[in-house]
Amino acid sequence: MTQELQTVLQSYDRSRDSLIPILQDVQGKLGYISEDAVKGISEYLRVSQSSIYGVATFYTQFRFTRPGDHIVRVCQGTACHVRGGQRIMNEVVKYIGIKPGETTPDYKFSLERVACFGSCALSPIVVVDDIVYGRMTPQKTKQLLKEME
Amino acid sequence: MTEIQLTIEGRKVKAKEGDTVLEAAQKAGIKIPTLCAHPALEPYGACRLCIVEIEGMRGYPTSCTTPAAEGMVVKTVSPEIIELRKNVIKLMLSGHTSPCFVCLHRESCEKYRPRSFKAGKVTRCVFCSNRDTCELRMLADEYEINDLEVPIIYKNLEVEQIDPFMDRDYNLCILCGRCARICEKIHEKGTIDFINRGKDARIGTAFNRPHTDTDCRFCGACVDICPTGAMSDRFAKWYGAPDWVQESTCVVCPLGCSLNFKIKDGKAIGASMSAFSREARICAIGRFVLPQLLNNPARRLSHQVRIEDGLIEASYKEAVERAAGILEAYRGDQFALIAHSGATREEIYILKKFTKEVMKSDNFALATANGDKLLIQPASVLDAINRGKIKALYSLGDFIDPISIEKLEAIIVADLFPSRLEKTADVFLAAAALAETDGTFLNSQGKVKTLKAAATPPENLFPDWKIVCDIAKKMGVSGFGFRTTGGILKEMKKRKAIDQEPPLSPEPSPLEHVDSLPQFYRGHRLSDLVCALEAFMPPEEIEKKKEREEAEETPFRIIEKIEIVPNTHMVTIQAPVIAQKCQPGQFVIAMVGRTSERIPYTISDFDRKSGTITLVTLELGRSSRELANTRAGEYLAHLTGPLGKPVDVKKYGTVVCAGGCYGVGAMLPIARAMKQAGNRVICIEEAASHYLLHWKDRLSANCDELVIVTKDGSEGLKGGVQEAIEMLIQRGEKIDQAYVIGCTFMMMLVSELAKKHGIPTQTAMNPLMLDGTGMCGACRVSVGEATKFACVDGPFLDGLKINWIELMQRQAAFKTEEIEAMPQEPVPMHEPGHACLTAKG
Ligand code: SF4
Ligand code: SF4
Ligand code: SF4
Ligand code: FES
Ligand code: FES
Repeated sequence: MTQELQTVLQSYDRSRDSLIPILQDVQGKLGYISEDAVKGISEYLRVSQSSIYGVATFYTQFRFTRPGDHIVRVCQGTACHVRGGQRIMNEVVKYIGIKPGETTPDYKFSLERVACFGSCALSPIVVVDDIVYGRMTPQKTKQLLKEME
Repeated sequence: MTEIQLTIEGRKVKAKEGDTVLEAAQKAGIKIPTLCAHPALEPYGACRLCIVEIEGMRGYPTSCTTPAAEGMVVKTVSPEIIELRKNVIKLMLSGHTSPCFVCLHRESCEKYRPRSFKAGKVTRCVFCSNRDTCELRMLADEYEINDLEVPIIYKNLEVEQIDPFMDRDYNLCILCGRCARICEKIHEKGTIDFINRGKDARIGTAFNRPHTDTDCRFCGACVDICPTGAMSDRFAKWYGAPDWVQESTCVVCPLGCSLNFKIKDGKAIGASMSAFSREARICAIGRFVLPQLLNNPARRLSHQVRIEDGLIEASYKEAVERAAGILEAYRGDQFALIAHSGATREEIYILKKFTKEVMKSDNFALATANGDKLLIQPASVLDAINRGKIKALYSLGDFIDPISIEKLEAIIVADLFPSRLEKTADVFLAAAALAETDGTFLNSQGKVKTLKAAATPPENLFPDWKIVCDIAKKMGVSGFGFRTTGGILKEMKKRKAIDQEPPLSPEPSPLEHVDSLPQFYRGHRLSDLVCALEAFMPPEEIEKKKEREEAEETPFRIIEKIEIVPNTHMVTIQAPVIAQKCQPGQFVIAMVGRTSERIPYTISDFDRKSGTITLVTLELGRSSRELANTRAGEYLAHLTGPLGKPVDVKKYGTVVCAGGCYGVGAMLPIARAMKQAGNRVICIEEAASHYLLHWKDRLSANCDELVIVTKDGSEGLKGGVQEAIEMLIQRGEKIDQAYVIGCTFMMMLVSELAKKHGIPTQTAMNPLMLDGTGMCGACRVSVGEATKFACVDGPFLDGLKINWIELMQRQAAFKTEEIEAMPQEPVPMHEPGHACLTAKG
């Protein structure tokens, strides 16, 4: 168990009620719920790994693979779609070489597909690390990613 | 505890406070349907099948979670309740593989196919091993569900065969949660639970790991409690429901756990905990391995005696006489007997008495396993063997190494499996054991446990106590006239000869972790006998095992292995000698692994230059599955051939070669040879549907015309080989000779037609052959007045004269053996195939 995880765990009661707060905390610190973290939580709370994983997979907020340093989301909602969201996605897929839902082997980028970000006025949009970039083109997106490397 | 009274279905019913309404009803013999509820589990209330109406309560409460209360008035059936329950079942069926429920032909299907097909994937009940005992199916039938308003959805989840012993097909899961709850109840921290949400919700492990990467103890409780076929015991599953269950004791390690043997047709096909509780838990050896030891393909089923320098089969009487004769010459300290710690108290007593009173020797020793080591105690016995002081040994297993064996003059072995010692034995007595014997066992907690003979031993095999008594009697010593183990126990009590000292508990306990499972039975490494256990071995150990095995075998390397069409596999093997000599129509006998069955395969192609032969097999049952699961670069344990009579290649005129399934490959060399001999060759390829047709190009290149015929008419003619031949006759073709290769059923139909038209027809009898030398007699065929042996006189025999009805009946008799032989090794996901090391060489 890493030091970081241990510190997180120790600030909670050893009770099943702590499970969700712990998971949120771990995700906040580590960026995801690792296999080691589940093992550590299981020992700490005396709850089986499968139950912890079961709870964590019930809530969509948790992720189980290490995310890339930059999380790239390309909107595929209706507004963005009609204005070329798909072409932007294709360009990104080609450029960083992974499909939506994956992370590059060097953990630089994770790619996600979102359905409407609520910024339709700016469509098509790309969101990188929670910053919304509006009126994007495949070319501009590629440029943006290049700058981040 | 206070008693309460309530009214269920108008009847006054008594219950205890704390009982649920369901329990109260069950005690009164009133049936309420349930699925998620189980007597061993806490109320859960997930499936909603057990709904009832209770006066004064709104809606339809679930009886399994509602506490019974004084004065309650409960209704368990009403049109509304029935309707609701029907809807619950229909919803479950919609997410299940349910076509059989709504099939119009269900009745006749079940009549003609009383047993499920051993399919890899369950896509409907007729492919499901759980069909006989399925709780979901019984409920659907009880509620007469034969149409669904909801669509049937196949979830298409990958079938999990990756772990030893257990298959999991969550496409069949109805999310009752029994498995997860029992696992947690028994092991405190469960291995499986509900994961994901919504439509993706399912049972699984953390991170979907294989169970070998979790803390799963392979106790099988989840398999045993699952109401559907979602979880199954890979070994037992195709036998169907057991006839009865017998509580007995596992004696593989000193814990001596109670377990229930599941008996079917006299065989122990499975074992399970005697109760679904933590106290009654058993390890993977008790749950899964015991039945596989008794039904092991390597098990010796006959007694043997030595002649010159080989062992030959002998009757029990002959073997006992021979043993007695040999032992006469070794009375006194030059004799030793080594028993094993899994023997019953009665056996140990009788073996000691035999050593002392018949052989007049003090050299009685007991072999025990400690982790991965075997201990013989007292050590002085082994020492005396090594110093040459002991000249004759009676051994109940594989305990001593070749150097010690060398020192012995006479060896009598009573055992179940082959071993180095058995190879050098003067007499080998095949013994009955485990579920086949009774007696008592003192376990490490000091409890006396009872063994019950539940399974019928193979013919003429007897338990160790009886073997020894019979030898003693033959040697003219009195005091061995026992007829039952009860008689032995009586004498033990009278003589105050009951051992009170319990054996040591295995530490750490096999019940806690698969790493500490017992490794030996009677000195045999369990992982050598039951290959699925390899999954628990550290990689270095597997490597060592592989080396041991490779050193022993001359391999036949697989050059290429592909699945041509679903279930049809082509395997090309390096076998220069066979490739050099073989002729069209001949076959080879292949043994995929050292413990595999010997199976004949027609040579579908050969290449003398590169020294390879090609076999085509249809994956149906064990042996073909083993061959189908091989991969290029692996080796077959053995290959013999070419065998059988080649077809008579000469100029006939017009020759028809017809084949279906495995026969498509087999007719290729015949067509080629006939063409080269100057015949006009017409090939007929039959398949159920277009997607099963294969080798069309290869056949076309070697014949004048290729006729395609499919059962569903999706390509070529509609029908079978018969229809194709009819078509040829109708268009005026004169057929001078026909060769037909396929399943017995097809060959029978074609032969009938050929008879009508007077077409000389040779049919391939491969489906019958077992040993390829005519000795086993399994391939006997009545051809006219004569009895022929397919493997010697064939494989091609005169189809017009064969007694097909007799043949079909005999084949049906092999059904059980086929199930027994289903392979047990785990299959990795996303991989074309795998077979375990034992099956490799
Ligand atoms: S085999 Fe036993 S330990 Fe493993 S998942 Fe099933 S119930 Fe749990
Ligand atoms: S696998 Fe079987 S026991 Fe487990 S939830 Fe599914 S149907 Fe129920
Ligand atoms: S722990 Fe396993 S091997 Fe030992 S007695 Fe129990 S079931 Fe048998
Ligand atoms: S569709 Fe892309 S932000 Fe709404
Ligand atoms: S049996 Fe009561 S809800 Fe399932």
